Amino acid sequence: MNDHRLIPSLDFISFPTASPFSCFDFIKDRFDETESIHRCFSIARSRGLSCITVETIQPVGLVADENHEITSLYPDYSMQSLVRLGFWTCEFENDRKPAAKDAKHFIGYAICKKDSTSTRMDWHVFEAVFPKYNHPHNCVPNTKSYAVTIGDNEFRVTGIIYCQQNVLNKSCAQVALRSLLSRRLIDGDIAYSKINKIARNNATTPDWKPTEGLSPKQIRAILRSFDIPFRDIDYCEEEKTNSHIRHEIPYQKYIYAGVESGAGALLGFRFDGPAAGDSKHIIPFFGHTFNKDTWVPDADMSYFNIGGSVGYIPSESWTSSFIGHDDNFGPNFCVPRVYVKPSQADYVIELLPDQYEYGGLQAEASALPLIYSMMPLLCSSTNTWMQRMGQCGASNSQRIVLRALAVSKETYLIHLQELTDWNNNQENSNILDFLPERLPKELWVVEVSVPHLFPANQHKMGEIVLNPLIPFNSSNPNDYDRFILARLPSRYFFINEVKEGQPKFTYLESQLTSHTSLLTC
Amino acid sequence: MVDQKSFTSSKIAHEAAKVFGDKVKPISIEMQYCQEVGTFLKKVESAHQRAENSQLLFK
Repeated sequence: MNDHRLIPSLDFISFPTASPFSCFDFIKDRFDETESIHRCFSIARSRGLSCITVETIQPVGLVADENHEITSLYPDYSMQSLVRLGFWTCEFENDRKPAAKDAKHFIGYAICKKDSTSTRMDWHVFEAVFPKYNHPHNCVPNTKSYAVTIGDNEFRVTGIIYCQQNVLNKSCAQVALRSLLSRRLIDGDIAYSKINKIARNNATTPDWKPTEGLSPKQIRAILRSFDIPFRDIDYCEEEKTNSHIRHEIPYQKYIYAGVESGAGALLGFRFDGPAAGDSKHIIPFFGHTFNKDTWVPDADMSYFNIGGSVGYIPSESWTSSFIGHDDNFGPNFCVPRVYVKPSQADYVIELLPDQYEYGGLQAEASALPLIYSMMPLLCSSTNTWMQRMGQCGASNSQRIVLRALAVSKETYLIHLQELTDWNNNQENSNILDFLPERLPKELWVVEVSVPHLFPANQHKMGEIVLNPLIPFNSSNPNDYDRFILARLPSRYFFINEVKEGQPKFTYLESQLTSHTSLLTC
Repeated sequence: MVDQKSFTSSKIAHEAAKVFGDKVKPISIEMQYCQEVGTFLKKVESAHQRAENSQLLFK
């Protein structure tokens, strides 16, 4: 599904962008001042833009598929223009085309399309890929490398694909899904005609049109058709029986869990203000920014109470923004974590890695009974860090930080192998040799830390490891079969057996006796 | 193909006892907050099930 990116162009021209060149004038003259295209130029400008390459290309692959679908919906449709833009940090002297040696100067690309019917004629960004902002606190897991032809050569850029709606065959929902699914599907991308076919089969009316948007039922059907598990919540539906639901299960929990797992999340929300009306928008999130100096956790405003005076400090508290695309305005925006008010967020869906049976919020909650049940043990330990954790987790404060990560067994084992604690100890090689054959292929790793240690050192006390491949059972919500092990300073804990519903534990000494680094995203 | 649900903590515990002998020791931990957490987990899962009935539309 790469044809539209790799097809040779019909022409080629480059424009140096140093003064007096104006992106404003260029976009006005060539792209009708389209906001999303301007955003692409702005991103490139902030990355040191020196030159733009502009190529006309023929519609093939996914673009041809789209044009065919639009024609079936609008017989008077015609594609007016299809342009491939390349953004560079170097100039190409004497109008030469980029050579392989110019790869390091490649910022990103955008394929822009002008569609026309009898009632409208608009440019939109069919797709664009730019890398994330290069800052260590800007976290975008699970990016994908996209190959694109510019001139006579192929270049690569890594990021999360951005797509814009065109009000013809795709609305915000279809493009949001493509953004998140393109990086994980075996075909490498997805055609809108395929999305819409599934949506049509799950529409409430037989004459459903793509521009009507997608319902959660249609979104779920699309995800299920690709065997992509998810966890979602419709706050409007839940409010019918629980007026506190938006506070009890905040939407940020789903977004953060989806982002951290590398699968992403979608947030459906209504606009604010008197002119907003009933229209609802949905956008994809795939990253977040970390701010170690966030005031919120210390101010006790981030304590997440799950009920019955049990809670914790989610690591999401140090997230200042989520990173996502807005199909109306462009790619790679930082949306402040609390910008969309709970009253506006109507639907959120956390995508899960393949075969996962429950989400990150459930993983974090599942770890709580064991963590807090251990507190008497930790407080009486001779290990200083266990004592500190016990003090933070005391019932009158419960200042334990949790961070749930979906990782493969291999990733976890490499992490354990590479860990060095604050006293420069590494794990016992006998334990590292013992574990591999005894862990499921996928894991929820719920990292456990305390305030100051988590944001300042980006370190943890240890982790609770869960099996994500065991389905949730409402009649046994605390299924101990999901628990694999707990690793805390100086000890591993296992459930030896469950007798009359009560787990019996054993432990094994660990050579990691103090805090260690977090699993990096 | 190995059943991924068969990887349980008790299986690890028993095999650890065979491999590491008396280095694996019992320890008493009285579980707390299971009911509260179970209630929360059921709430999250029920909300997920009910989302199938959603009447929302995003465009």
